[in-house]
Amino acid sequence: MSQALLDRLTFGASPLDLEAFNALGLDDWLEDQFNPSAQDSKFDHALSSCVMKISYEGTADYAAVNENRPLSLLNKSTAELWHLTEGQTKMAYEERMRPLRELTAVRLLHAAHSKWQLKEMMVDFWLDHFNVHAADAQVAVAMPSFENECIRRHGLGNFQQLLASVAQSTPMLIYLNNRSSRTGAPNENYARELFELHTLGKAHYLNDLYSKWRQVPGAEKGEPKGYIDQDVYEAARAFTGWALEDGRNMGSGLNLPKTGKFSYLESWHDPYQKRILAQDFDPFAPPLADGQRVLAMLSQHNGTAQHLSEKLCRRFVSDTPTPSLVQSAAKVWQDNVKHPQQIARVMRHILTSSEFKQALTDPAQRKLKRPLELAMSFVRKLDLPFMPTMGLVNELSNAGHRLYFWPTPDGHPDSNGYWLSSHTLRRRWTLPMGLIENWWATGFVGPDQLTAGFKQPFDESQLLKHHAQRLLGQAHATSTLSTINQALKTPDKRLLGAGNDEWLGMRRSLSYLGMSPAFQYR
Amino acid sequence: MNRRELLKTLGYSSIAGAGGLHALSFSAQANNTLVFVFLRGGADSLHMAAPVDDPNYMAARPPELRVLNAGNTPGLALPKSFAPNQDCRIHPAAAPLLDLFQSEHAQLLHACGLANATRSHFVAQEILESSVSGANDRLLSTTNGWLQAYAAPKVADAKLSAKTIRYVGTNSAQIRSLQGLSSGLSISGELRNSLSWPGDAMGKSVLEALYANPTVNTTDPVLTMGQETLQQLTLLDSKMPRVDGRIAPYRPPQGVKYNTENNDWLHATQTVAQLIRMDVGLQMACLDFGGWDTHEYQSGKINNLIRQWSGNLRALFDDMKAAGKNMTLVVASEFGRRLRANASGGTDHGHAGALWLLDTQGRKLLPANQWPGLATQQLDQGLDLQHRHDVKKILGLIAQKTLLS
Repeated sequence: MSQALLDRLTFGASPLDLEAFNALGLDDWLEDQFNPSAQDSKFDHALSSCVMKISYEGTADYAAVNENRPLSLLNKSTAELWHLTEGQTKMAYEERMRPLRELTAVRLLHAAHSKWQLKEMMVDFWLDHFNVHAADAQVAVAMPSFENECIRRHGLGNFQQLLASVAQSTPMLIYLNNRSSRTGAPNENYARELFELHTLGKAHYLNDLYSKWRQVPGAEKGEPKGYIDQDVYEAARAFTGWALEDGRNMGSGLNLPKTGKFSYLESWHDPYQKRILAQDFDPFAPPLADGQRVLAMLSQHNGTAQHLSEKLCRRFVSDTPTPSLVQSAAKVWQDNVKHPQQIARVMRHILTSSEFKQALTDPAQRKLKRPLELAMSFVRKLDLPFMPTMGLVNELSNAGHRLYFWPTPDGHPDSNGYWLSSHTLRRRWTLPMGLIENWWATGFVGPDQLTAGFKQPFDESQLLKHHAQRLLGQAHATSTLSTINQALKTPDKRLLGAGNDEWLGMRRSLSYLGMSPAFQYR
Repeated sequence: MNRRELLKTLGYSSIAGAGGLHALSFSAQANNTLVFVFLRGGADSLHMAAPVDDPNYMAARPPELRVLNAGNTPGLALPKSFAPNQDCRIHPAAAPLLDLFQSEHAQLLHACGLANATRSHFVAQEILESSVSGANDRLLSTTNGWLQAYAAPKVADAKLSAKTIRYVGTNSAQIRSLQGLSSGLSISGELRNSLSWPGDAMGKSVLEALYANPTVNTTDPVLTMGQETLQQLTLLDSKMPRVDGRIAPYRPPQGVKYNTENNDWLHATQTVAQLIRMDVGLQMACLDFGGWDTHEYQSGKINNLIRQWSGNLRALFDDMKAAGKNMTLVVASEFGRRLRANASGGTDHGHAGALWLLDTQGRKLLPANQWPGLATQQLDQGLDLQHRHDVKKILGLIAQKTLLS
């Protein structure tokens, strides 16, 4: 039971994790996880020795590079990194993308090694919820600060603060085009996705039912239960002028500075009266006030509580969470709407609920591992050496998990159906084998790593049994292992020495365990 | 050689393609393959095909967001106008399609849209791809894909069914339009690189053992998907043409020119061409082509998109003609975009748009155009192109005619 529970809340539970969890019990473990300290020794150790390869061909303007480079850009501000976006400076795309590559490395290191696993699961959740596509260098250089200042800082905190920080973040202002939105003919991209994806959700989009704001139920009382396109059009006006110092030509020989920082452009703002969600906005509000008021209204709307509670339940409990759990979570959300630990409180409610407990034993409510979870759980449960590489990141992408590269603002779908296709399953099968055979330079797995706690001579079948238990748990270990052994026609007893070659078969067998149907589920 | 001559050389001779002759026995199962191309993001149909001299059109957009009637890059006049007495043209980057319009192998139905006022990508895509009518957009995720209703009954003979691939999506994920149909194949990337499994022959026997065990849990979708995947990969692997034992890259016939600027789109169209040529009984193929959500800097973006899109529609058409295969290809997007441009050099979400169709047999598969006009009072909610045809009904009609009759 605690194994199943912990596998939902971490990137894979190792025997050590389980021991720590059982010693604390769920309540205290959660309390601990909701209040992560700066202390994270295993992660810190991995980070201090982390290098990431960078390699590109030379041109007339710059020399070829192929080297392992330590991580040095993670604590730099967007302004300090903005020079990497300068089109006139000739440099390789990989240099421009380097801040994002480093960030990706650290995300994988966190997933593999951090003590604060629940926080990392939340980071994953919010990066999908506030998805941006980081292929553009201007987005890429601003991602470290986006992830640290918005997602990591507020991921267990207060939603309104999280939303407000994202609204003024460089990546979101670029990705959903608000930086070019100006009075007269505003760009609706951000406003629309703010309503539909970030806050109220499409269940509260009522444009198919109503075409005038007064028709929306509750509007006459100033509490409409949902929104229509008129709200989107007006909200787009409210955010005009929320822009960036991106060097843009403002006319009359004036250019904005080149820092990538948020900037409010009074002359681009549409100052006149507006009506959004049945509320009147007076003309000529102070700078930023229109947009801030929209963010506050949306954060506090009951629809947002519903939408976010449903998403959190879907992420951690089941593809089809029971309405009772969503309702009770939404109530906790609203009761704590101003609380600095609002999100943690909702999570505590969900994770201590009877519905969650029930879902853990119901085969119909199983959740497929996302590819990052699949790879990390293999690493964590076998305690493999692990260093992040782009080779692995590309494999995750092939399996459907495109870290920082999901193209549309909805983020990866959160349903088993999305992760399961003939293409992605084939690529999922590749992950365990590639990891244990070090195809992507993530770490060599030798006898030392596979025999911790065992004495020579090593009995292969004993070792396999031990590792199968760790990977699959009691329920599936024996049957899966015997299926594999039958297919391989493995001799009953084989003793392994210290020569590396003798371990090839052992590594193969372990990767087959990782390809088994049972290992696909969290 | 110009396009017209090329058509003549290619079109009416049946060249035995890469699939070879051994598969002829299956051709009866798929007389015609329906290819559904989804332009994700809401393609700006009014920048792809427009009445270029309409004063409302000219007033609503700067020249760089219009199909033009003059200048350095004028639009290409369609042989038949979709708007009465107006000069209807397509974007110059769609040049590869022009002579297919002239030979009536290409058709266009403008002012097509959902019978629903949504301007949301995700709601509109869901309505378009699922089997709901469009008026009701609640609780959709469990409904079948729209193509499910048009699938021919599954071959009862298990041996025969192991030799067919009836549905394919060129996307890494499952295809929403095909939901409810079992044995769908997903291929992302180049086909020849998408067929291997880890561990070679031994890996395959282990996987077959792991995914064949009915005692574990027969309703487990992972098991079913694993079995089907292994079966389909084995079939395709056996059919791929080899040079010195290695699977050769796809070589389209001479004169068929695929656009190579966009790898995903290149591989998607070439995967469909190869599967149709292999005679595996392919009935439906779903292709995604994204990037059409042009809220900002639309002019350059859409020029590239249209060039890549039309180039490979044309190449796939020529390829199938050269192979003597029948194919109907239909292109839709979740919505069209706003008539009036925004101040970011882009367009926001709108309503109706154009549906495009290619048919190797040149059959007339679309109803007549009815143009609603672009004056403010003629627009949907005062701002977007109205729909005169329900796109879901039109798609259903095409599927009915091409797959079930």
